[in-house]
Amino acid sequence: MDSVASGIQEPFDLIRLSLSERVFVKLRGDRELTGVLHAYDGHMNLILSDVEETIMIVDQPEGAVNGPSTVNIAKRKMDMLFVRGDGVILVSRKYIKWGAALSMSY
Amino acid sequence: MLIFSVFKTLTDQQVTVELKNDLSITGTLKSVDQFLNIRLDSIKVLDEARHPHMMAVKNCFIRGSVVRYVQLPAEHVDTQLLEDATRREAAAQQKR
Amino acid sequence: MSFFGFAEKNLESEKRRFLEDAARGAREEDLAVYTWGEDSYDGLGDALQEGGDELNDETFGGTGAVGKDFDFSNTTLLDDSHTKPSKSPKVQDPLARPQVAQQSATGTPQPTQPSRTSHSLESVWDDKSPFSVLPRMNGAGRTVGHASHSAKFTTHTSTPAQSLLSQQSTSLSLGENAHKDVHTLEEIEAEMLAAAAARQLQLQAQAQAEVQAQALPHALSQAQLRAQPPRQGTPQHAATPPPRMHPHSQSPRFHQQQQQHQIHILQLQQLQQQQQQQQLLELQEQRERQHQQQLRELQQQLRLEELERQRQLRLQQMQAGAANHLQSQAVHQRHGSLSPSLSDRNLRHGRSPAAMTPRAQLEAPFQQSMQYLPQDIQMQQRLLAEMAQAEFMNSMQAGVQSEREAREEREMQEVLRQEAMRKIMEAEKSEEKRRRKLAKIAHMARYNDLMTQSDKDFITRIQVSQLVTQDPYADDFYAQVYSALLRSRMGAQPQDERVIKFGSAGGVGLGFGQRGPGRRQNALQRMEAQVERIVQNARLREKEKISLNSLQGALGKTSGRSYKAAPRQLLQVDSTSPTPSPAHAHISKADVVASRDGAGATREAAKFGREALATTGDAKARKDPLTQREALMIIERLYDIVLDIEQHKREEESIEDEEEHEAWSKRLEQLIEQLWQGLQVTVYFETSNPHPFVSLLTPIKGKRLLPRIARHFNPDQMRIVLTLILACFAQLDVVKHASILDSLHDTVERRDVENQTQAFVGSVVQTLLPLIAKTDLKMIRGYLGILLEPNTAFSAFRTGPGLALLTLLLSRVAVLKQNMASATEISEMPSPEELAEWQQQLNHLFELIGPHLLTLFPSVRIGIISGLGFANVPNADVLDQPVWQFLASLAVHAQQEQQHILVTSLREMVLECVASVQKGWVTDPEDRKLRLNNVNLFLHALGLDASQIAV
Repeated sequence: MDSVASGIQEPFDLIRLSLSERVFVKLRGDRELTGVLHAYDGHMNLILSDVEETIMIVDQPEGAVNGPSTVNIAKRKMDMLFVRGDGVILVSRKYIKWGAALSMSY
Repeated sequence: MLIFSVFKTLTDQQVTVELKNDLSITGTLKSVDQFLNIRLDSIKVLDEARHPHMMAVKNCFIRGSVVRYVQLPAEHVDTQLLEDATRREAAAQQKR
Repeated sequence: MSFFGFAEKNLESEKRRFLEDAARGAREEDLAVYTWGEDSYDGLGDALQEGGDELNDETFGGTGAVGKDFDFSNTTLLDDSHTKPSKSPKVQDPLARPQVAQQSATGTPQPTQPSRTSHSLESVWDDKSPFSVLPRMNGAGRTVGHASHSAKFTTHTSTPAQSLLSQQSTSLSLGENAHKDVHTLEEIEAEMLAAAAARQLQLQAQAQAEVQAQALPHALSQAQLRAQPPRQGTPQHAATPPPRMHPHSQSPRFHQQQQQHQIHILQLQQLQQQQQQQQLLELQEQRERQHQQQLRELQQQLRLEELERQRQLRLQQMQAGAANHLQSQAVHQRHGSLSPSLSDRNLRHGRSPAAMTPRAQLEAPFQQSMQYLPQDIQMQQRLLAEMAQAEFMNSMQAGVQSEREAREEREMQEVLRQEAMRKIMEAEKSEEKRRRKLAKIAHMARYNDLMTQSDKDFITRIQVSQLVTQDPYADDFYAQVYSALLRSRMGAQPQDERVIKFGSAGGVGLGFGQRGPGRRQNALQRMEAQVERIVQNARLREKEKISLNSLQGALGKTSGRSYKAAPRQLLQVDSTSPTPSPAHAHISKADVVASRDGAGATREAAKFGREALATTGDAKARKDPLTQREALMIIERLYDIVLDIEQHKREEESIEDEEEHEAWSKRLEQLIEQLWQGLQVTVYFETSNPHPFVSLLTPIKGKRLLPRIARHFNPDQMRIVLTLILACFAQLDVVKHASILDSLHDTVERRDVENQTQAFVGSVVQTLLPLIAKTDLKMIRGYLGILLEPNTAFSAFRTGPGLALLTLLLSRVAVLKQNMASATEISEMPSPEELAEWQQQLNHLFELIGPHLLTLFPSVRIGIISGLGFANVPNADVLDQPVWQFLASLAVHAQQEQQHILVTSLREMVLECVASVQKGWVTDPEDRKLRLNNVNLFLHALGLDASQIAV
């Protein structure tokens, strides 16, 4: 497996593994995306399909600095999305927990 | 160059450009350059009530750096080919 | 100092004479003319105020000019033969001589600068330094005597000549004066006095202006509301001095004076030879004449000025074209209040700015000057203004009625005026519109032709040079292939490539979308030419870049495309380290080894234990299944190989040489062999669970890879692949996770399984289809046998992929049977023994599937889990379609009792479906059609039809 191990030389090789996989992308401005990665480049520009965006809007009541702040989550879906690389914080593969799968019990 | 190449194939298609200031502009992609600056024709702003100053604007040139997302017409993107192109570019850059 | 005293008695007489002159002139001429030039006239103040020439004179005009001022007579006196580098020596020399002669011979009243002439040059210099350097500033305060004298002179009855001179001196630099004009003593004195007076005036004017400025804002603010005209008026007055203030040398008066002086000089020359008494008399006469002429000139000048003023007024009125009723009313008001004192006016304005008419606003700039004018001047001005107004009105009313008549026919006029105003407004509006349009066009066109064609070409060159690459196909791969695919789909010529190539390497990918004819085509050609010009440069630059790298660090930092290189490794994780940090392990090169050595230590031990249990050799050694990442890495490597192969195959066209082709073929074989090994199909079947190949098929891109690989493999290789897939069927992710599809909850997992299943059926099964379609019965039986092994059978029955494969196999047998009946394909003809064996296998299948026939249907399974009736499961017909297809293919082979089993088992299902269609429970006609088709698919295989079923 040494030849496989040598396949990883730089972080971009890791992103390459995620091609056509569902990925989780953390973006600046409290935004997160999940989608299927179809393209990336050296600037971390991405093209994703079947995207769901999650925007976290933190509402802090006025005056209370450490008071209870509510987090509103807005979600939306997009078919095919180009994401400009300068907003990307991280890209990771989205793991599916198969433990939740139903067993064939009949 | 990969993304530039992709955008080239999307000229004359309807795209929605979302800017970093949350302005969303839908229009016909007329041209794009290697900086991913974008020219849109017959544009329409998503939330016109919030951006009344954009109402009279019919076409625009968007500096690439202010773009957050571009929503592409999925039917005009060949994902298989796109992944291949990405692999090719990644391989080419590894060689360099 | 002395010359003042010397001239004193003379000046007295002069003054008397001037007074007489003035009196005579007053009798003869219009009084207004004389008062025009009174020292209270404010125009001077304006001029001085704006010019700020006091300082100028101190710095420049004073020093140089004053010396020369007195010099011209001096030099000629001292040295007659001395030729001064003057611009007009001819004028000056004859000028000087008679004056000297006069002075020395008679001592009579024409002494021009006698004091100066009596001194040496040094003394002149000495004298100059304290006073004459700033003649105008210090002139008044030079001596007490002078001051008192000047006080005498600056009476209100000063002659027009003096006032004229004072104007001249203030509006001119002294140097200019000295050069071009001969000055009598009076003139020079008057000059100085006037300068002093003018300064005083200026101060007054400033003070006044400040007062005015307080009153003005009202006018201005209103004027601004009225747009252009009033605002234009103000700066016009400030900027262009009234005609009378034109520089001396430019005014016609000046030229006339010049001539006059020359005549005067000639006469003086003649007089020199005559008796001095007579000379004096004549000189006096001459002077009188001159004065008279000057007066006439002045008068004429004033008339000209009046005309000018009138014209300006009219102009302003035209500009104030947006005049309304208020304006015309103002005209009438003004008849009533013809001579309100200016302070009154100011008060009125201050009191009620709102009542200010545009006309009054127009006058605002004048007010400042008017205050300084004597009453009659004001009158005159007002008269002029009214004349102009009347003229304006006349012109507006087509010149039919004079103002007087208009007053008589007031009503008529009112109507006409309103009409006129309306017309004016309309004209104004359209004019405004036109102007706005023009302004807009001008605004838009302001950058027109800013760049020449060569500029544009230059920029295009720069832009294109950015796009030039060594391999246009690689860098523009997506656009190139996409457009090629699109073109082939549209049936266009494939040779229509969108790449500009140069020689062997380098070029620009134009991509796609250049559909427009004509101009675009032209631009393309131009670009092509441009690119050819620069491609050489681009190549040189590439070379330079390489050489640049060799000089790395020689002159500090050199810029390169750093992002393309791998980032410098900051963490040096030792690959032999016993406990590598898991956080960094996935980045370090030693990733896999590390995981083996570290976290996987126990697993490794267990593995060795298993290996020890295994009796077979190394080839059959059991291993851990591939991790997801290992699988992904292998897949990516395989993709690289596939892409290489595809590229390699594309290069076949360019090969002509036989030897080259051989090398090419060899390379292709090599690549395919790499691919085959990489697939790990030949790894022992029980090496791991799941099998490495199954692990490679798990990611969606692994499934999609198979059809692309398949076309490079021979059928034998593909048969191995098929066998392996069937053997490991239960290990496939789409089979393992298939039960998730029986849930109605729309989760990420469910969607993923859906996609994976779709990809499997679309890619893997589709790849196997042509293979199965060419398989003989023996092999089919073999495949079916593998699939119906106890551990795979049920998973095959309950998954889309499993049913799809079963259907494929059964259909192939059906085709074989048909062929046997029609005896078309002898080679594939199964023997009777084979057929018998097939029947046995089929019986076995029925035995296996018999009790589960209903649960084959996804809708039924979903119905059981969610508690819905199967007919109510959304999208049930689409989900069930593969099952109906399978049942149909099964029914074809079924024997009598097997058919009976089928019908009895599925009776309810069929009846329900038919009933729901016939009774219209299914509302959507599309759904109804699909459901009926599904049922009929099965019923037709049994020789029945849904229409035969009566509900």
